[in-house]
Amino acid sequence: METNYDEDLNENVFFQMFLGEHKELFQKATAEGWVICVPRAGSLPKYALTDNDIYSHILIPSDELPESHFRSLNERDVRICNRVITVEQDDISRPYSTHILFEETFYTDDYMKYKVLCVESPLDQQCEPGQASDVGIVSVNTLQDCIDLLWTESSGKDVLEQMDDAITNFLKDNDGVELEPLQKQRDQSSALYSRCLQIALRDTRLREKTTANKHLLQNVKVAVETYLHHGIYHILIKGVTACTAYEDAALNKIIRNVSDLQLRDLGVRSDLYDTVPKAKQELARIDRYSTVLGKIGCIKKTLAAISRTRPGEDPSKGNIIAADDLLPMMVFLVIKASLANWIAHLTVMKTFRFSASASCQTDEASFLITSLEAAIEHVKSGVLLGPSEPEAQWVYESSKSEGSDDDYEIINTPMENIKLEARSDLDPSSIAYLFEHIRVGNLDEVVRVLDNGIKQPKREIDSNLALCHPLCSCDQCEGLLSKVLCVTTPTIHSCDDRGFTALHVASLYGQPQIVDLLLAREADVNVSDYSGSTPMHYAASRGHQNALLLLAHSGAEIQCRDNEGNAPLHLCAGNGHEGCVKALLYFSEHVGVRLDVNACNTNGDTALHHAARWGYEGIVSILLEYGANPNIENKRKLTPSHYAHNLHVSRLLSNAVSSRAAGKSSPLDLLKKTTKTQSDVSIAAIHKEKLDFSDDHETCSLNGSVGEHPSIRPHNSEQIKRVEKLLRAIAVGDTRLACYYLGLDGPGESPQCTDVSNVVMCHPLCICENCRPKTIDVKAGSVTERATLNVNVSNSEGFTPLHIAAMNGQSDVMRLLLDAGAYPNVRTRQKGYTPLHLACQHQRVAAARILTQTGECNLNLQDLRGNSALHHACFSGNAKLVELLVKEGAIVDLRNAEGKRPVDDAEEKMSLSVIRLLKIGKTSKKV
Amino acid sequence: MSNSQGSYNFKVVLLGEGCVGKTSLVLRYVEDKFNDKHITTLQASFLNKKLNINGKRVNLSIWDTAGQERFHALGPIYYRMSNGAILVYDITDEDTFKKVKNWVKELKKMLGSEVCLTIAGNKEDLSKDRNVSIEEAQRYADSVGAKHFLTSAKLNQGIEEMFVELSQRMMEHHAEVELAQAQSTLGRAGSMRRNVMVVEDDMMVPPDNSVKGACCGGYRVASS
Repeated sequence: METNYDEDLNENVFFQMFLGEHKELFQKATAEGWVICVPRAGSLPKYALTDNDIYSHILIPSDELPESHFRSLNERDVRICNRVITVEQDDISRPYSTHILFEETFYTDDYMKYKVLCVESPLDQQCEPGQASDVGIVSVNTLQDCIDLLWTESSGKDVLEQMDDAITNFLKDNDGVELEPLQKQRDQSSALYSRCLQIALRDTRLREKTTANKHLLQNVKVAVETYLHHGIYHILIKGVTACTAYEDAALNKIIRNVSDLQLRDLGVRSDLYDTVPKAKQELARIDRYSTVLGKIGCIKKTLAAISRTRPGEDPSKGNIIAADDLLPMMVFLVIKASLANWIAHLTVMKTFRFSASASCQTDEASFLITSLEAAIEHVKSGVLLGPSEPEAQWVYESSKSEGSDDDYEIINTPMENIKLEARSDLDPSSIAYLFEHIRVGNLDEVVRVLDNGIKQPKREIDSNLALCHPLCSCDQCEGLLSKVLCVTTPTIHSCDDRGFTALHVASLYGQPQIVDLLLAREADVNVSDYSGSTPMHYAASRGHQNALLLLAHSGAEIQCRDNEGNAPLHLCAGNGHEGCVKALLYFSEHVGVRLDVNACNTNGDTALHHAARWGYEGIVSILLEYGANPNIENKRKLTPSHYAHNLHVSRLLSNAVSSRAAGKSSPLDLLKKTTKTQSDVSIAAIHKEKLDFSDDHETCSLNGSVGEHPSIRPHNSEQIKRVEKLLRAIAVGDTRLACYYLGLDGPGESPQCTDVSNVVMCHPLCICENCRPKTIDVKAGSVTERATLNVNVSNSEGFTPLHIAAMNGQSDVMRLLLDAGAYPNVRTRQKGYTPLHLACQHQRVAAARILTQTGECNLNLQDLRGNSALHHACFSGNAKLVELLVKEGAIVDLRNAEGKRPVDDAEEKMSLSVIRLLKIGKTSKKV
Repeated sequence: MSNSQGSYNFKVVLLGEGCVGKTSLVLRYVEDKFNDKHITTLQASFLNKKLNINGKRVNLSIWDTAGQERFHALGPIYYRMSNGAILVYDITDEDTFKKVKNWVKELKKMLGSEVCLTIAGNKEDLSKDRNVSIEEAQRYADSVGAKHFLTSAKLNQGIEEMFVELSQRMMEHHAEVELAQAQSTLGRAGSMRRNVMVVEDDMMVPPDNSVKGACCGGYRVASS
């Protein structure tokens, strides 16, 4: 029973009478160490006390019986157990028992010491006429208790009704109080509390009773406060959450990033492990309690769950759970309870306890709140982040907090040394050793280990082994040999028991140099561990933007799913890494790799769900900007708005929802949508796609990044018109007209009609690397003079004459153009097609052959979707094209943005001959 | 802090490294031989003890803290608003005494002279392995204005004296503060909570004025 009952025994009638009228007895009792019981104030009937009444309350410890047995001065047997006093009766009637309310130890001037027990009702039954002469000890622990108290102790339902009115008026008058700063919210609620308390105390019965009983008064205060919390909770929590939104988001970010923390990492006592699920369940309910009282009760229940004695265990003192054990446990529970607004709840508890007067600053409730606060504070400090062992940083933490005092006697090792020191107890040939050095970013050592894996064993067999003779096969030598052969130095492909490769580890700990090194050594970028996570997933979930971008740029699949269906975007959105979210979106936008912002994981959650749930305002807004749909329901039929507990986020979402409904998307949004639909178009559609010259967006994104040969854009509208005419002429195969526009002589004639005599070339017709640009320069000069067009001129979409010719299979024009210096690797703007891509798409075998024969054409260039010429050829299923490309040495297993190789396309199309060709190409290449 | 009836509520925080036996110390002090079964988590880290020293009531709230070094930074959350601090070290372990010195510095810095300090050398039963000399500890305690006690949770030595002495000092200190700000009846804690509007009625009625006649049943008589 926990009542927190308190009274001043000096004012207790019984005690005063005892001290006044039985001084001798009192002195004897204190001298002998007898226990004095005092019935609490109000429990005694109001007649004069007899000697027997006093005697029955003096307990004499027994010499023979256990400590808990006493004999009262009026010769009764008394037992005390679990704060209950039981008095045996003389006759056969049932033993009588009552509670001990508290124990007070008295120290007097003359160094006497005695103990007094305050008991709930007199020990002598005769002293107790009615069952209850007053209100008894009421304890309020739940909202229901509070309502009961206000109901039963007052003279009717008036009090509750009036309070309801006050609350309703408050809600009406303070519409929008949730937008105010915390102090204002507090002041207003506090005024409401005063009003409600006045209402309660205006009630005659309640006033009378509380006047008589301070304990009851305190309970009434708590009850009023609790009732009020319940009434205004929905705006209270909303308002507080809005105030703490940023802190909460920061905390969530930390919690999300340490979510794989284990109990042992925190040093939780191992015998408490099995209490965790229950305790977690209790604590996670804290947001369902609408009152401070309820929330405090929730923490209390959590602690009770932690200390629950397991069956068959001796709850001896050695096993009690002290503060040392409690705090790590609380930290763990805070991390695991998956509550999104801890700080808001904590703030509610700290700020809105109106009934707690100054003296209550030290009470049990504030201890409970403090325990939670300490745990949250510990998480918030971020010490748990960083290296996998949280212990690795605590020295740093203490040095930070004490940093100002230089004469502290703790030896503080600088953080860097600790952090970057790899564990030295690992076998250098083990994979753990390699991973440890990757973790700390020790590049040299990683290089050494990886090199070893390749070279060492063989070399040692050759030279270093001291065999009896080179071909010896005695036991000893064989033993030596087998040892060398069995060396298991990890390689770039080795994985540990979780399926982690070196690249996973490097991405997890954000070591960009090592990621770079591994990628340079051709580590598999899309390898997944047992949870289905690729290095990209880890880089995203830990917010390592550099590693993420390195992976993305080396062709890692940016929307692959792990076993829970999460794409990297989900992970960085859920863990609050705004930088990574942006990196992914920008990467996708600029490189043209498709990224679905509305992808759902296995729960049906989109990245927007995650960001909204954990309150990352910045991420929510950027996702919305990039076309994330705020209306998507997950499998529980909830949209991101349902998860948004914080006002800023929910406002962003509702704005997005309404603007979507109104159909007016932001310009950027519109752009995204177009891009998206375009990238949704399947490859097959490309065949049908006619060149649409009016399409003018995304023109600027590529020229810089693509190739060494950008096409030349026309300077004025006159030229633009001419370019259009030129391209049309080529498309229809009008060679002469094309030549006219380009200022070339007709087919069959020598291209160098202009004066090139002053140009030094290998020989007059040379088109080698050195000579070629010169002819072009000369030609370009002469061409402009004649107001003709450059051979590499392009239209607004970046199509050059060579593109059009290749697409239409105009072999003659192509030869002319190439001879005139057209760049074979030039790309279109929008999709990054080279002439070869177009030739393959349109199955122009002859055109493709001409292009490959130039010797300058790069067969392996990929367009913006990552498709190489071979992809296009396979997709069209043209065996001749494939054969040509394979023969010319095109790489057969390039992957496109969807992760497909050419052979995958071919398999989809069931073109057996193509598949066979590709296989031949592959094997021949290996040989 | 004293309330209207002249009784004090004091918060006492226990600080010290993990292994020094803070918890057993305090458990021994509030040991309740009438209740050996139920020591809950809460009771082991938050303890209440009612004292009556020369007619003055003192309600001690004793807060145990986590001793692990990695939680050091959380100290202020626990010791803020405390009236007294007991800094516990293990007499067989010199490091724990150094730790106590650090705590003293920190407390002095954060709470100034408002907190009464007691330094407790625990595990006196292992005095044959003593590594912290009594003189040194005593000298240090004197130099920082703290009291030094040697205690043994195992043998129940020196603990009660320590708490009673600390309570007396906190009462004296409180009286001084009260004298200093005689104009205001509010103590430190009170002044910090001035923004709370608490309806404090004058209810100084003798407690034996028991309420007569109850109606409509439904009493929630507290039960265990």
